[in-house]
Amino acid sequence: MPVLDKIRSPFRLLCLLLCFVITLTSHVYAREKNNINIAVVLSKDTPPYHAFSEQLQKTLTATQIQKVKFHTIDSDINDSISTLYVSGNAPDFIVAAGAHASKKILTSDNSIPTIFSLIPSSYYKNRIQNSPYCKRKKYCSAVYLDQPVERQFSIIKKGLPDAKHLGIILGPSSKNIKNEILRASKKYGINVILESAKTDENLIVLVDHLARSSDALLAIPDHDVYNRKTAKGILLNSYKNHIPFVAYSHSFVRAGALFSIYSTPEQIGEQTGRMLMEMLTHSKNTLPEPEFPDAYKVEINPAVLRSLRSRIHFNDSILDKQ
Amino acid sequence: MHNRCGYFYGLILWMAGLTSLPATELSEDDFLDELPVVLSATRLVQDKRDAPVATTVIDREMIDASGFTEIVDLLRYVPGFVVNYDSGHVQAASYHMLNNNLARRMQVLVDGRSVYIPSLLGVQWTSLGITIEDIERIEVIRGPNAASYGSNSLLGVISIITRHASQDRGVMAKANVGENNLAETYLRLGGGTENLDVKVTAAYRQNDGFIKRYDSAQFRQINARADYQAGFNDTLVFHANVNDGEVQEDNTFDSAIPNHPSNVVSRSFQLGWTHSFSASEDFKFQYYRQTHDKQNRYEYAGTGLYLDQSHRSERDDIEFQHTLSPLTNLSIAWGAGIRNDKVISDYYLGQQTPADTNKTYRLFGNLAWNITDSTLLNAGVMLEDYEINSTELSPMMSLNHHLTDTDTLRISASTAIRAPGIIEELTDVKIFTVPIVFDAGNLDPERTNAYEIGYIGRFPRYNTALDLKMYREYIRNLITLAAADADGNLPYHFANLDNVKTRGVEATVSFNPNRKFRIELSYSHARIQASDVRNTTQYANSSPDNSFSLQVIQHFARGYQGSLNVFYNSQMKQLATEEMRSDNTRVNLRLAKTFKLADSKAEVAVSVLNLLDEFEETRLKNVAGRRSYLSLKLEFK
Repeated sequence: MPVLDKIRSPFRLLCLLLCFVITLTSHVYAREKNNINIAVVLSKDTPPYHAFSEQLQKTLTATQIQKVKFHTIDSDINDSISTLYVSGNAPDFIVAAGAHASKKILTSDNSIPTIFSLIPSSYYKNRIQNSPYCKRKKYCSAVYLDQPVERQFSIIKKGLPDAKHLGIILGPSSKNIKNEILRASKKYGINVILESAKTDENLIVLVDHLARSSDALLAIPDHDVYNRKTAKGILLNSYKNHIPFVAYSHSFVRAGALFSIYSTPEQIGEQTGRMLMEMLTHSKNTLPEPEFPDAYKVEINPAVLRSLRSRIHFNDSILDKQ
Repeated sequence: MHNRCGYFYGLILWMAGLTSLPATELSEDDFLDELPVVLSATRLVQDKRDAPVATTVIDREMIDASGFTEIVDLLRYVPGFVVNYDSGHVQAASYHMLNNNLARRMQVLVDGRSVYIPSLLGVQWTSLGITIEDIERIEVIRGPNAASYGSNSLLGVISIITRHASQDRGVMAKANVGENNLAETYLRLGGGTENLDVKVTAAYRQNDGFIKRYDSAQFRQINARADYQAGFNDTLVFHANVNDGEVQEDNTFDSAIPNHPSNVVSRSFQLGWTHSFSASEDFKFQYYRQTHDKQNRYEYAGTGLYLDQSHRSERDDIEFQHTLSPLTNLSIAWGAGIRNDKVISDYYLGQQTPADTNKTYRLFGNLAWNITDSTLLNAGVMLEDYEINSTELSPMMSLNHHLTDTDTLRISASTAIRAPGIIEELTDVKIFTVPIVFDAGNLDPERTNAYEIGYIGRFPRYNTALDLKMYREYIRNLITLAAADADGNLPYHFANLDNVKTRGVEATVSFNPNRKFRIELSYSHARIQASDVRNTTQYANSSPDNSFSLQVIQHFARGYQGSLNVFYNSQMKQLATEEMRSDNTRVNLRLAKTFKLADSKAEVAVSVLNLLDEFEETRLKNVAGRRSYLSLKLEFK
């Protein structure tokens, strides 16, 4: 047998065994050695990713449990990891920040525990969770960027107590969370008017319907519904109809949404750091389950609030919880 | 559900690239990428509770449900407003006091462009440069507010806001056909790219005016608007329009004037740039130029001699405004502007100097300071320097106290001036060598001081909102066209003759239990005391003591919509004469049905104006009669 022939070579057999042992025991070993090496892969070299990375490092170094070394990888993943191995800085964990970084990791060949962070939950569920990279071992987890649906309902319930009917446009990708929306609707006693963006005809009818029958509009992230092209028209028309528009990003609130519920890259960076810390502290063999953000901001557009104030009842206590 | 809102939403999403929806994977870019500032500080409407003076907003739903085809009629919904017609195409509207056929004492803005015509000393409502279909909303400031809007906001400010070009993508075609030879067609085309939205509206409108008058009119109009998003923080907006009207003039008052046609052409061009630093800070720059030409030449009294009453106005205006919020509880808007008015008219200014200009410099600042969580102080001042007149300062101050989340009390004091216009200050009218109006020397600006106590309440339990206002206004130095003597002999001259005191109360009630049913009610009671030095009663009776409006809008199943509109005015002086017109009630009904076709929407509507056929025979012979018309509107890609 050719394979057995290859293995019979004592040197090759030794190498194979070594690799096997390193791979399988690296995360256990990591916690027993002094230095913890974390490879960080950022999707872009821009301020949000830097803020994420800085907060991640700050969180872990502040613990002083063990000495943590960070290695930012910005070239080929396989080559960079091999280089780290050679230099004695074999990564104990990989942190991928963003979709592009995650995509690169998924195509790499390693078995290092990986946290996919700063990505929407749908991205993790659709692209990562069941990927060969994560399927073959239990060392994948995530810190999502989007907010759980229940949280959004809870904040709207408190912030807009008069909003009895909440209009939501679901697009091709956000339609998957319809059941979560219905559960949250039941739990918080807010009637939802759901419309699916499928065809021209449906789009015309759904926006018509929502403007007529909703007290507020909640934007559920979906690139096909909310993007730079469509934001202008949607914001202008929700404002024209005096309907508060609740969104999911700082950009949206700056553009004209009444308020947004979102987590900053710093907050996600900190939570990712805490997830790693948990691993290091309790010597767990598996990564925890993916998490939605613990910390979030409710940011309001004060100018829009001032303008809508006499038409809506806004409870600014939602701004206290940051 | 079928209603007008759907058009807007539908068109926007439809034209914005959602014609097919392949699932695009969401990424962090959707959360972290920047978006352009859409609702910039200058685009937002100040909330009623925080406004320094009482305000009324007429929104698109009210406009659609009104059944009106003339923009000026929409002001009938505003408490204290009087709308009247001098002829079918010379329309007038004013707040509290309407003694003249032009809204001389109102500031009227279309997207920030003052449409006041220097050669007319007023507003030509049929030549605003927009159609009724272009309007997003009309904000009316009920009271003087020169600190924000400058000269001419003596009685109030009407600010007409048109829709952003992104809200009108696709094609809209509309036709109104009805009694009194009413025929109107509108065609709007809109489109664009990710950063540029453009729309063009063309309209043809005609009607026969009043039954007993020679006052029919035909208007051809085209206007364009482009909105360009230059990066995330900069927007450019461009407007241009041409309005060409062929109108009939009659001899209702002067038998020397034969029935004859005249031609009115107005043009405007406007460029605005807004740079948004943040959601609450922006810098706005605006330039506009507008011209108004009226060709009006006729044979005088059958003498074979022709009198040329033609005139031309030009207005150039440049302004910048910086809106900022240096503290969380403080908003400031300040800016400066220069305006140059020019009037060319042999008839009004004399053959020796047929062209005159008036340059105005202005500097203004306004602040809104939340002294506490529940108390807001608005203060502002405008400094204006007129080339042909004096330098004037107009301050304003108000204190709004929010008693609860739903109740607000407001007290305010505001001032405004109306500086004499070119054809008041430099007039020289002669009919063939006979002096008709002469320049009697320098005039002082008209000045008003107004005080009001207001209450703004919201009653969520009853889905009702209430807005009350009690006021007193003192207007001094009213510029009156005075005859040479008490017998009314020629020549006339302009003089600061009269003073007026007005007091009254106004109320609006909005009942809006759901988005399918709505009631808007307004009431005004006003008492005017006027000096009327020449004893012409032109000011004393220039407002009805009582007036109200009611609008009920109901959206039924299967796309039906019905609306009832009722307007009442107690008796008042008719326009341009000293005769009284009796009290009158107008009722408009409108029934519409919306159809959703494959790729388009259609609306068919029947409107009946003046349902009760209230007869009003006055010296003006302005008998409107009951008029019905059919309307068909199509919107598609």
